Amino acid sequence: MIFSKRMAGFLAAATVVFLGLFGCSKSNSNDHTLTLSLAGEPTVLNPILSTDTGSSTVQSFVFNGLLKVNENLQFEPDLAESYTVSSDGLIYTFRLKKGVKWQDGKPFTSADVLFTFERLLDPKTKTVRRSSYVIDEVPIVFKAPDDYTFQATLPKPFAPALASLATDILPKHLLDGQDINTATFNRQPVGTGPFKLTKWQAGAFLKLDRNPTYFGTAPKLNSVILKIIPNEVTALAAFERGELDMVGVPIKDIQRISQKEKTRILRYYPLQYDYLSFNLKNALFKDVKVRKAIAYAINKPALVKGVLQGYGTQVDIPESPSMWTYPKKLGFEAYTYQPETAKKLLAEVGFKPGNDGILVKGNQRFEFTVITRAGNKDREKAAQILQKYLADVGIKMNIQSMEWGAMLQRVNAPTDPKPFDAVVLGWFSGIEPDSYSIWHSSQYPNGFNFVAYSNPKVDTWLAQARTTVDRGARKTIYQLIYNEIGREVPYIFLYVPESVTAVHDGVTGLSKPGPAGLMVHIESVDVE
Amino acid sequence: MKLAPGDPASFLMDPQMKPEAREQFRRDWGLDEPIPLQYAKWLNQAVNGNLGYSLISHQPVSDAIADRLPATLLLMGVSFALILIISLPLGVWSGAKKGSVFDRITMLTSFVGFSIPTFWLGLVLILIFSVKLNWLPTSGMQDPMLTDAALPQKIADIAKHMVLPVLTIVIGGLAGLTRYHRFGTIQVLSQEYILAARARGIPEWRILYIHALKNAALPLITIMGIQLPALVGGSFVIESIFGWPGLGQLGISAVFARDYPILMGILMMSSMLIVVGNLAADFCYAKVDPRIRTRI
Repeated sequence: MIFSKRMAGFLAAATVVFLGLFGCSKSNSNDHTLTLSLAGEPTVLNPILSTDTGSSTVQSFVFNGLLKVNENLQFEPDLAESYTVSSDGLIYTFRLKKGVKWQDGKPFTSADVLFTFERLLDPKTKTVRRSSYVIDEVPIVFKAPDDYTFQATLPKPFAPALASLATDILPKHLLDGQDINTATFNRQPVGTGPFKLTKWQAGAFLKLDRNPTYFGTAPKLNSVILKIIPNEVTALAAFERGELDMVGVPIKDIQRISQKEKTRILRYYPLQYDYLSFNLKNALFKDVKVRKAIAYAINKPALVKGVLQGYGTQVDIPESPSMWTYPKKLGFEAYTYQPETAKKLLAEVGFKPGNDGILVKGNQRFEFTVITRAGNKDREKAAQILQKYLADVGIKMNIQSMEWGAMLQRVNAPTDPKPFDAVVLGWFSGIEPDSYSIWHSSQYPNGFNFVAYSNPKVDTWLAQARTTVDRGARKTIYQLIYNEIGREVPYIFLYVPESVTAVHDGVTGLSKPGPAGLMVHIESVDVE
Repeated sequence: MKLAPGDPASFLMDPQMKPEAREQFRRDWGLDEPIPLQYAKWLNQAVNGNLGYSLISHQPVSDAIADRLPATLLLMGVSFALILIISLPLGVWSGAKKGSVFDRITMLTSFVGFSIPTFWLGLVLILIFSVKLNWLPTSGMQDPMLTDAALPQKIADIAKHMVLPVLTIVIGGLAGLTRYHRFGTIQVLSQEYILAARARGIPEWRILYIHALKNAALPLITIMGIQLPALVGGSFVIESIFGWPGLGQLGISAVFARDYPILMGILMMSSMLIVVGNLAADFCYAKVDPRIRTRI
């Protein structure tokens, strides 16, 4: 078209003029600076207050906890030199490293650790984490017997407590006597970590520089820059142009990006799984046979291919293959794609095809609405594929995409029954496999057991797994839980989408891709 | 605003978090109180110059807004100025030569620009000028390595970052004003005093740019008054595509996170600007148009 050509010509000319005016300087990237992107502005750089990914990314560079997670998702000493657990599983004693300094030069002692946990328990602190330090209504008791010893006494054995005790530590001398919720510290954090925050340009970027007094191995990097780029297409373009050293890649772009020169693709299964879950209070889904029929109606391998183009793996239990509790072999027969079996099961329950082909039982049509998050393309696509498989066996599934807040309000409504039929959603977890809040019958209607799953055996195991400290024993209990839930299909577990990161070849020293991230050994990361 | 489902606490979907934690969050931030009471509290603070704290970042609302305002003002100010500078001659000339090839081309291209979705245009420009041609940065406002550079270098850096977002805004915004100018010119040129001027043998360019333009530009003042809040509110789409650190981004993340104090702050500011904008427009009218002046 002639006009658009003219326009393009005009634009190009205008741009050339502009560039001519201002010159074309490109900053040199060969100064050991790692540039990453954040999808959103960090909210509050205080590890006991923040709940967003942006903040936790920054905090991981600035702060240290008593323990840190290694590539195999096991705890390793960080600020603590070692720790012991008393034989009754109640007393955790941490020996702290000596000679650790805060980034302002003040020494780190057990007083800082005690201060951090006291703030966490203080009702004046506006934190959502307090409940992790209160076990059956009784708070954990914290003590600092001497400058380099710290002790936590639990009211009863509680295995997930270790992950909570590993939390990042705050400097007492900078926060004591202040309102921690509004302290300026929250935008100018001082930690013990390998990097310190030197610049924060609101909405634009954060710059972190190497901390010369860091107690661990000195990092090879001089600085880390975190650019705030909300749009993922823009972030990808920025990576292609070399403005970013690493970037998360949406599935549809993996093929294209992997063909780029000097770029490598790193993949792992995050601690996440997506599912289709049913409101078990809905008459349609009460019967386990109906849920099994739905499970038989779905071709999961094809779904993984259709939604994730193969960049993911199907799951049949509520856990990601990256979690240490994930079994080598399932303890039950997983449901495979058998539409005929599905139809047979539905007929057994009394559903017969009506005039329009939709199943009917008495005056009840098998029609329901699944809600999913608007804008989450993968899940919307998954819902559409599921819709087709269910239609094949005579079930009419409507899809309603909802804004996130609106959707959560339905799912978390504190009413019985809750105002939804089914959802397509996902769970992310930390490195703690405890899923009490998702499956225990006490977590309905107030809690995350929004499907109203209730199984006394699972209840007992969930409670037992929490009080078992031994990792091997815990693993056995969780596998019992996975088998039971996998068989009863309160959710249809769908898949774990792979986390895919593109990295320029100049970036070296990254750790083995895994849920602990790519920079477990931040000190060895470098940009050449 | 509070009718939007959910509140900040409802987003805390962490399986390791007990329901009590969410309730406590609501209590901490006073979200469990009746809405009129929440409003009364907010109003009481606001008239005392305290816009409250963000529910998400715990930062004073006035600080959060002040951090973002300059970036938005810069981007929108430059874009707006460019739109004015380009649309005025374009519109006047099209109006004067109504029906000519020039007029048709202008109208068509401005319409094409108007109808292209902004987000698409923005991404295409990034792909062409940043990724393919490697001329301009993809996003942001400054190169983080150049924030401490000398002033001229810094200005050049910001200017480079501005080219694409400004271009996107200008292409999208040109159509409206060009048409206003064109219409204004056509209307004014059909008036009797223009006929009289032509009869006196005044050259056509003089008629157009001295006699007609002043009158044709009158509606512009109204439009400027209306546009002022948009100037400050920024554009969510542009800012999010180009990672521009302005108010639009702040506002939209506040909407999704149900960060009421931030939203109230931004809303209050733009309402005030609507009033200020209209007032300013009225004054300008009186300055430019003697007929209105007499009535004041």
